[in-house]
Amino acid sequence: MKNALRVRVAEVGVVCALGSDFQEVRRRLRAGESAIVPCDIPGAPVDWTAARCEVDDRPLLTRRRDRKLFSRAATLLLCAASKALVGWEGDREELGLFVGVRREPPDTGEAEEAILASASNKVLSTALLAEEGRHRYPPLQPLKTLPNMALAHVAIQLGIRGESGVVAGGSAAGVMAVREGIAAVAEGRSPAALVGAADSWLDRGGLRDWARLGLAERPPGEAAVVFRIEPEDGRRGLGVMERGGAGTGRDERARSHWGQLGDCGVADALVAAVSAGGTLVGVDAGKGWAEATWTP
Amino acid sequence: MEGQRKVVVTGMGMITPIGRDVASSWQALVDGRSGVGPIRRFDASGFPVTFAAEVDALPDEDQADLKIRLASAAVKEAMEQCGPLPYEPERIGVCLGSEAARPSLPVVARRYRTGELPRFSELVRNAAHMPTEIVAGLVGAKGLQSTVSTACTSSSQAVGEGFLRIRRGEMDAMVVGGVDVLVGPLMITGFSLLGALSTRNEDPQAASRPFDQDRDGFVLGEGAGFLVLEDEQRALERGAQILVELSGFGCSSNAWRITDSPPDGRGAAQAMSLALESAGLTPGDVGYVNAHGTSTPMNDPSETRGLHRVFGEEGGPWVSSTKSMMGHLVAACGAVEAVVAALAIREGVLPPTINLENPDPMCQLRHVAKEARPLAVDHAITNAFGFGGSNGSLVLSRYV
Repeated sequence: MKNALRVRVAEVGVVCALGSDFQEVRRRLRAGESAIVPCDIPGAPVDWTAARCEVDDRPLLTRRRDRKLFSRAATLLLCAASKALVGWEGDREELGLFVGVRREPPDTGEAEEAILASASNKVLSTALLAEEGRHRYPPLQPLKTLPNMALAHVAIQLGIRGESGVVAGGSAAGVMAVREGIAAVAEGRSPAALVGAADSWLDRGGLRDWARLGLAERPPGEAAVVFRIEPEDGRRGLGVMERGGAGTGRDERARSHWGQLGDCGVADALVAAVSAGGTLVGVDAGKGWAEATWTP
Repeated sequence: MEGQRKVVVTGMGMITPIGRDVASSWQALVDGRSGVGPIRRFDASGFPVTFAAEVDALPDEDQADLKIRLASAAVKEAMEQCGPLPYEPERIGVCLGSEAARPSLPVVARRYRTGELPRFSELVRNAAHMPTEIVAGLVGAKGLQSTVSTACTSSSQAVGEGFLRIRRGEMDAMVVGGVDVLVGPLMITGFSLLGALSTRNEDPQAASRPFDQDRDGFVLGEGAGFLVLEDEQRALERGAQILVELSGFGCSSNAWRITDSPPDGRGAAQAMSLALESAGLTPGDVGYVNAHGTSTPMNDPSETRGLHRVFGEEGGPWVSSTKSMMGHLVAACGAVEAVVAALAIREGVLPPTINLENPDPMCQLRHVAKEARPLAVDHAITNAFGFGGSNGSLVLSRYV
């Protein structure tokens, strides 16, 4: 496997339960602080704990319609991406954007009214859906639940038009997206790129899946981490990032931060690296894995 | 490009609303046959849209999900054509364009009624990357596997990612493609509410009419398409039959609106230009474009403008949209249409845009309208543009 693809890390945007300033989050992670608290999210069992971000998205999401369209992960990603863009003075026309997401955001209840209106005597009827239920179906629902919406919202809000990609699925997706971005910059297709991942288990659908996946022994979390990477040019930055290997056959995920930030899903490997850099290892449930190394 | 590894296609497979394999789908395209008809899967009579482009049912020997059955059938065809890949499993990767499966309507309804939670097995089965893992198992790949999910651009980008991995020497072979199955009551409802679907219920076969001034939306389709990509030198060493060269890939973001394409065609032009640059070609080298051509009021003029920006407003390559016959295969369309472009080069025939009776003045192109056109071309581009503004373009070239 060739590992010669290297880039410079110019900026890092982090949004997690320990804060949204990269250096502050790094300090608090290193100090062993924990953001895990009793979970007060509606729908969660009373004995659960979780790590939830406090984000102020008002400066970024000024339109009411945007607030309806954005999933929680998309909101976190936008906040982290806008931080990673600080100091970028180049053109955004060719700026790359590569994102890892877990899956499409689940229906968090918006379609419930339409489904209930399509049942008679507790039996669903396609005819009733056609006649009655469909009029109550939220028209933005198909858009909200497409997996690439987080990337689309960030591109639109921040005016990023270069090479882009969304890797979806298991927990390796975040590192896979980072690897794609490193290649795009190192091979000269993008002058710079935002690469990262966002995930949140902390909504009704996410908590439901959390329970059914049998993960309740560890706290669910949420986070977004976005690196701005640029070609290596001798300038100082936040270190060097190198594209590592990828394949199948591993089953050990990054977990060092679970006691502080909970399981941040697709963003896990990136969150773990915020503390001290090192090797980002993403591993799927299906044992697909991907690596990148960040040397601060 | 000099000094870079060449990427060649040695196997292709597809299952579409007009055929169960490459040969039958291609013959239907050349004949101009539509695969659009009244929805058979459920009673759609009360819905605003009552038709779609469905695949013929496949044998359900193992009760597998239709999406998995389609992907498996197309992969099997592609692997039979390319023959055994004599590489280390770690040097064979899989990249798939797909999205998460959704529970059926009755399951959703039962869950709302009873408060029942989804089963563990269902969550795993419906994950976006599950078809990728299954395909990797089918072909014995243990190299990098990833799932691209950028709506209608998904499989175009998956093919492009496979191309880049071989070109940079990361893998020797990549099985790439896409699959999608969206014809169901909730999706018909959702896309109808967005105003994206044609409502020409009285004449379904005339509903998908890309670039025509009477177009009114796309026709939802389903299917799967796969290609086996190899490093040229490794393919030659093993004596593989090389079908075409995959010579370029480019992608971009519109950063415009979630559902609309920018009227100036900028994002589309950027993807095509990057793909040509990646292939080391000029616009004048391209003889055929298999357009995204969805038949929606917004996409077709935007894509036309993008084509004009790259190829100029006069002359330019021949253009057709095979969605006029197959409908819109969403996450699978990029890979399926890459197979179509490869066949156009190999067979010397450009498939038509059927139903193109009155070209929209905003869509002035060199259309292959209504009937296939025998013509030898050396290079073809295939476009895919998705909700959210992701654009992908692939360049396929005659192998010499």
